[in-house]
Formats: sequence, structure tokens, C-alpha cells
Amino acid sequence: MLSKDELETYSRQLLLDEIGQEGQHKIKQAKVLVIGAGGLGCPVLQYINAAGVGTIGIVDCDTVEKSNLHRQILFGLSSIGKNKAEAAKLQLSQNNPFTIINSYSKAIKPINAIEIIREYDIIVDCTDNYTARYLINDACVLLSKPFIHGSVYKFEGQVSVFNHLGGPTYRCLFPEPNYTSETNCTQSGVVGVLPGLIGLMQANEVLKLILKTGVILSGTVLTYNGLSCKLSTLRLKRMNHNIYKRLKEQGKLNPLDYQKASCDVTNSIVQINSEAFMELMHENIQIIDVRERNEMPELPELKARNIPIGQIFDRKDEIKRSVKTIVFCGSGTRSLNAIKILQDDYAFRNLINLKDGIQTYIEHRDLILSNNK
Amino acid sequence: MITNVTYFGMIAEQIGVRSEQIPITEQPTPLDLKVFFESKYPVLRKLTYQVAVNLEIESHLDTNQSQVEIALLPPFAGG
Repeated sequence: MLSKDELETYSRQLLLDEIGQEGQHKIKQAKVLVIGAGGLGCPVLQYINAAGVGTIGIVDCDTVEKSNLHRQILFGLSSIGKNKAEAAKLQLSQNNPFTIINSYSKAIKPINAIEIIREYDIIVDCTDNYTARYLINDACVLLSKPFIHGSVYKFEGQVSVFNHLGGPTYRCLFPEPNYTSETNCTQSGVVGVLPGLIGLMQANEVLKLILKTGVILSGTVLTYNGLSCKLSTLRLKRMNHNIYKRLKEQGKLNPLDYQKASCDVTNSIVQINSEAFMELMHENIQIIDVRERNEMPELPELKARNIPIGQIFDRKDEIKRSVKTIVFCGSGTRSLNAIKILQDDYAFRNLINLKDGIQTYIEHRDLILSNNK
Repeated sequence: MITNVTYFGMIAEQIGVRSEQIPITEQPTPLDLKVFFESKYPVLRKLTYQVAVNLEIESHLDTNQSQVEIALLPPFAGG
């Protein structure tokens, strides 16, 4: 049931045959998650909030900067320095008292994606990097949720609805990420109207999905060029991908699938982050700590063998060659150098560097511990 | 046959062309468009992209036609 106030607020859209009171009720019941409150996320959030989407989730770990204001139109001068999800929630709540806004001041990651996404019916991908985009795709496939992709490059944009009623997914369009050619708005430049236009197309798809009306952009990628005004709709088909079978079997996301391949091409050193490290700890592995003896903090739970980097040459035979081996230090640099020596000079294989060092592992571990309380 | 080719995003910038007409001689079997364009523009070998023929994502071309529209579409990351 809609209140008198709601009927008045939404009166102009209630006049539309495709909406009416029944449609407005569906909009009120809908739960939409917007991942990324930046150039795309702001217009999406502004319009779905104004239309009365009942529950809106916002995920963003960034803080508002002055250089965001030209395109991230939910924010003003007073937002600078605030977390984007929180700042967006504040503005949206002032715009519409009838919607519930949940803000998540964190990045979407393999460890939290399932838990956050499962609470919502429709997901909107407004992120700015391939790691997040492929993570969202795979989480939505695992949870059988449709998601609306939007992306921009300078004066061009793409929109599509993926994983809708068995329709194509993002991997059906681009099977694997290519991080070497990845560039976002900060690097390549953008003017606000472009993400504004693309974000509004995404918001339009949100409403059509809720109302089950119109032609959904599923199986179709809409491309738009703001300079030429050329708009194309390219059709694509659903494909099978091995990763989906594996994901369904393991029932969860694997951080290793979303690693940027940050290998030094000449050294070919495999690196992992702290999330992937925590996953591997359950396997039969060997952990080598190349910090100095008694360098703090101590981490007895890791059962690591401490071989300070200066002793690597003398003590290399203490490292089993056939076992997967994680090497760490404080920040990831000494361990990288240790691996380089062991690989290049002594033909060790199976070595993996803990990128960014043990400090990020500790932060990650402590976050999980505090979440479990 | 005549192909009207449009290049999107970073591809257009890297090769310095936004659109062009390319004549293609008839072949007995479908033409692998990625191989065709990568030999014309070797920089494409480092990029990820999809090819569309007459607005359908499809990387092979039946050259037994008079005219087609081809598009080369890279992913965009920005948001």
C-alpha cells in the first residue's frame, strides 16, 4: 500500500500505463545494489532513489575528492574527505524519505561479494576496474542474479544487462580481463555527461527489470559515442565458460581468479595478495619468512620457517623444492628479491611472493576476527 | 565485397582510424576476422576486443556477400 504522501510524490510516474500503483508497489519492494558510487553510480543512485526503489545498497571504499565533483553529481564541497557510500547515502536520504539506503564503506572483494550481493535482487556494476567487474559477474552467476553493466572510455560508453534469465554474461562478451590495456577515467580523462548518460541508461534498465516492461538490454550491448552521436546495439550469445562449472562446484569465489597478473615479465614471479594467501593456508604448503630474526610482529600461527634474506644462499636447502611455497617479508620487496635469487640462480620453482607483505595479511586477519565477534 | 568497418574506444586511438571501407576478396571458407585485422594492424594482437558482423558478435565472415558492417569493440573499464 502506498501512503498519501507517496502517491503525491510519485504522481507523475503513476500516470504511466507501464507503472501505475501496481508498478510503484513493485518498485517499492525492489532491492537494488549499486557497486561503485562514482561517475556511473551517482546518476544511477540519484534516479532509482527518486523513482522510489525501496531498498538501495551502495558499495564504495573510496573517499570523495575535489576532482570527482565535475561528474560524481551526488557530492558537493561538503562531501570532500567523506567515504563515497556514506556521502551518497546522506544525499539520497535527503532527496527521498521513503527509500531505505544501506551503505557499505568497503571494496567489493571475493571475501565479501557473495554475502553482500545475495541480499539484493538486481545488481548494478558501476565500478572502474576489471578485477571488480569480473568478480561481480562471477558472483552474480553463482547467485543467479541479473546485473547491469555500464562502462565508459572518454566519450564512449557501453551498457548491457548480463545473466538475465539465462542470457549472456560479461565473460560471453570478454572472456578474460586484459589488465595491460586497462585504463580508468582518472588516467584517460572524461567529462561528466558521458557517465551521466550511461548511468541513466543503467537506471532505465533497473526500472524495466523491476516492472518487467519494455525490451531489456539482455543479449545486446548498447554502445554510445557522445562525439558522433552514434548508437549501436550489438547482439551476443550466451557461451559456456569452464570457470562457471568450477565456481558452482566449489560454491564460492577464489581470490586467485581475480588477481591482477602483476608478474614482472622478465622474472616471471608469481605474486598473491593476502586474501589468496589465507585461502592457500588450508593447503599443503610451505611458508618462508625472509625477515630478520625476531623482526616483529611474530606470527606463530603461520608455522613459517624463518630464513633471513641475507642467509638465503647458505640455507636454501632447508626449502623443500616440490611443495608450493609462499615467501613473505614486511612489505613484499625482500621476499620478491629472495625469490628472484632462488628462481634465477638455483632453479627453484613453486615459489609465490606475498605481494604487499605480511602487514596486509595482518590487517586482513584482524578485520575477519573483528567481524566474527 | 565491401566492408564498412568501425573501430571503438582505444582501438580507434591505437590504430589512428575511426572508420574505413576495406574491400575483401571472396574466399571459399569463412574469413577469420581477428587474423585479418591483426595482420593489418599488428597492435591489435596486444589488445582484447570482440568483432561484430552486421551488429552480431561474430569473429568469422562469410565473404559471399556484397556489403557488411564490421565493428571492433574493446572492453571499457571506466566508471
